[in-house]
Amino acid sequence: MKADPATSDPELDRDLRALFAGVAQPVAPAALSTTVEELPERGRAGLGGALRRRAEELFGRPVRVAVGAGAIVLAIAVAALVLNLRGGEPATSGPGPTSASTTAPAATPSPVVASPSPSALTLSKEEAVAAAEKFIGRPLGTVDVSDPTAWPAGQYIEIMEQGGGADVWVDVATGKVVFMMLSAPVTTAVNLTPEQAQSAAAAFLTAHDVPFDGLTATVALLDHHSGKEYTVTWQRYANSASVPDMREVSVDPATGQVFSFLDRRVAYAPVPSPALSRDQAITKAIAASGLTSPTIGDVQLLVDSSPIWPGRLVWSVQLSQQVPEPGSSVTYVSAYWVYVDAVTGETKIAGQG
Amino acid sequence: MRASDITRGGSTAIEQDDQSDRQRLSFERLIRPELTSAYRLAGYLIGDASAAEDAAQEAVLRAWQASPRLRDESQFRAWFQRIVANVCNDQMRRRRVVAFAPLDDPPPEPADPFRSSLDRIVLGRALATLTPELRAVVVLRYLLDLTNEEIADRLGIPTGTVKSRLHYAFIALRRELDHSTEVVR
Repeated sequence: MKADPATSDPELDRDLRALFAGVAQPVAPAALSTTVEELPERGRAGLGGALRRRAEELFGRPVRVAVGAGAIVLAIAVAALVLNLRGGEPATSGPGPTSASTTAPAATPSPVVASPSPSALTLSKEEAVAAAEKFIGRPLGTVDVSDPTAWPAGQYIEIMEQGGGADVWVDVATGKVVFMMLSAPVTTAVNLTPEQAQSAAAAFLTAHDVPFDGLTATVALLDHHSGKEYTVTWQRYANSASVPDMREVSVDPATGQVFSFLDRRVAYAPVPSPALSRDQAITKAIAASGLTSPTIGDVQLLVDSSPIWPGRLVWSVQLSQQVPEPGSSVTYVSAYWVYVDAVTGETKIAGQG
Repeated sequence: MRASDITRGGSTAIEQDDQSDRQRLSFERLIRPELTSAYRLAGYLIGDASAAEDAAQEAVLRAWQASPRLRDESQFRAWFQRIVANVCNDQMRRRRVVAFAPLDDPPPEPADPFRSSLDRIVLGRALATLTPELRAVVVLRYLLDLTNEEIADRLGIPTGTVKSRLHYAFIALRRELDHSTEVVR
């Protein structure tokens, strides 16, 4: 192996740094901006399409793609809309709106996901708007208000302020806001420490009477390049598995303002102990993916609350591998998201991209 | 999307329009901060402003087409840099000609900022004499301040090859610099 040239010729190393740092660097010509503004139609869904497919997946359609951990706030919105459910008590099982559990025998205690029931409709649109305004602390401008919309976990009214100022979802059965997204910040400055961000998020939950006792908090600073955000998540764990009981608050790292909130509480059955270890699950996931030399991504033990395997205790394994695009010099990432039943070892491709 | 247009299991025209807009906005939000960096990278890899603009435009379009396969938004910059490097490689292969002028050529036109920069000082002129493969690792290292592992990722080559190319690039640069110094003397 060759020695690092920078250390073998420090003078040249220094001069090269000076070369690129010292000259007046050209800026992108205007034609490049025009290219961005006039992107041609594409024959397939793009970034937003991934989120749409995720939404479809959560609606109960066949799963085709997963949204990565770094997905934009909208992904949180979609997940919140679909997965949120009032109440955290263990649920009585019942016929859910999805059919995933009918295609494979549930190995872990019966799910959970409550069926939306027309009889649960108790909230008028006007009451929903009032609840949204109270929650965000200001009158809304002109709004579009949806009819109560059935999602697998409940029925919600969406209030969307024209101009994109606010998007709020209200549970028609409880009148509580389960999701809020305000205009996302575009700041890149980080004036808050993680502790200060968590304090700001906790104060927000307390001010809105959202309980989070017994949940484990984590703070992440996400860099979207065009902007940054703190995401403060409170997650409940049972038997070392994350269960669908969480709150998530996004905080502007420059100002401390809360701009996004979700409250996800899906009732779940008692969580069994996993029969498979993490490593065993990864081995099974790799075999199921067919990838030859994947990079292991996020691996989580969780109680699924989506239509994929609702109620099951699963190892969620993310795998990726670089593959060349046929006929092109571009290399893409082939990624799989595999569910491995932590009790039976059964596998299922939950997403592929 | 208007909230009232949401339908379960269906897709309205408004939804589709909104979906398309959202895709474009998401992509635009990601790509705009990278344009100048991409242009500079292409410029120093190819050594010609006009070709760099073409390469950067092609990279933007390739990225747009391929963006459904991007799974982690936080990796956009690295992913896009790989595309830029690939496009530049393709361009140079097609042209079969390195755009840099030989040292004894007439001075470049001042309108070309890359040639101006590279010819302004001896080291820049020496850099211009490197083969595209050697120049690429030097540019990625010093323009983008990437590690050997990151350079390997962007160019799709092993880390050992990066080290080897940097080694030979340094030898070539040193030789060129020493030669230039002798000429001046």
